[in-house]
Amino acid sequence: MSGTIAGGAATQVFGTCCGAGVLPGDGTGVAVVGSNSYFSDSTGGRIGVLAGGATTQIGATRYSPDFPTESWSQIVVAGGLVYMADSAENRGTDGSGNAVVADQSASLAPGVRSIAVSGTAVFKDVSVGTIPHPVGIVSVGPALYVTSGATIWKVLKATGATSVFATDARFKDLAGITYHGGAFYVADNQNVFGAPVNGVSTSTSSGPAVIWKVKP
Amino acid sequence: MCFSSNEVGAGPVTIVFKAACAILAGSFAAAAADAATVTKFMSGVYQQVYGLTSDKTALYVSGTTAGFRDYSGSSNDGVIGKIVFHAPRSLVTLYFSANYATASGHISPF
Repeated sequence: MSGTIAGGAATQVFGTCCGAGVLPGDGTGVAVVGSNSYFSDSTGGRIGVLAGGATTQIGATRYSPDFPTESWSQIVVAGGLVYMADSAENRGTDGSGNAVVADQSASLAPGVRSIAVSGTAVFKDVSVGTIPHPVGIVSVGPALYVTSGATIWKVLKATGATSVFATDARFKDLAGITYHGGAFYVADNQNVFGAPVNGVSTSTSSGPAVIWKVKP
Repeated sequence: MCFSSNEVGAGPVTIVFKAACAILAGSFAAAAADAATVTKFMSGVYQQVYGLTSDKTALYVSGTTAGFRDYSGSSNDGVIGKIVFHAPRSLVTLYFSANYATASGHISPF
């Protein structure tokens, strides 16, 4: 990591892109538990862990690694499991500042999945087929809370039961979510997307981002 | 990046996180009810925000000052920002990386 620093120094701990590393792809999600850093790779749908200076892939490469087919997957770690919000979308721009979302369902069906951080590393479906293009994910007690479009979904870890937790007419394009002091905080990029053309949707309006506080 | 220990309260239950980095994993040991009120916490938070995490005092955001990851590299900076919970809230940029889509690497969601 390089660039101009404003207020703090950045130190590269691992490079996920374009080298001979375990995950030579496009890092997307990150979650830190103790001294271990877990991360997801959009190209190939891989999950990895950086522990003790060594990087190990957890589970299989889930689709043929390639940038044009990559799927954004944010992650959370709880109870010995890595949960991933598999969006089945690739996010970028069209070069004119318009947000672009490309449907990558051919690479990976949208859904929430899990894999154990240790032991038998097999991906399991937690909730697949209900949430359209999950993006942000947070774990609170027995449930996962997942953002998608203008909706926050609740997924019970034990059963996979999935229901709408919150929505609001002001929500447009929710992304990251976290929980603090009894409330959720949710990022909303305020993107409004046009109809998809060949699986690609371009924004008609975009940002600046808003952070909503959602109190149960 | 790790933060010092944090407390998360939900109703009568207060959980003290001894492992501070659990915050970054987004895992919390308190339950939430199925009813919600929505208020605007802050607007104008960069152009796009991908990830959110928190410690005891602040939200931390990762995102970009322009559109989504712009592979053309046109003035598209990755950023990490901090917003304290208490008033007056302000957005402080902790880190930004110009030329976001090339040698700098991506600023990814927490």
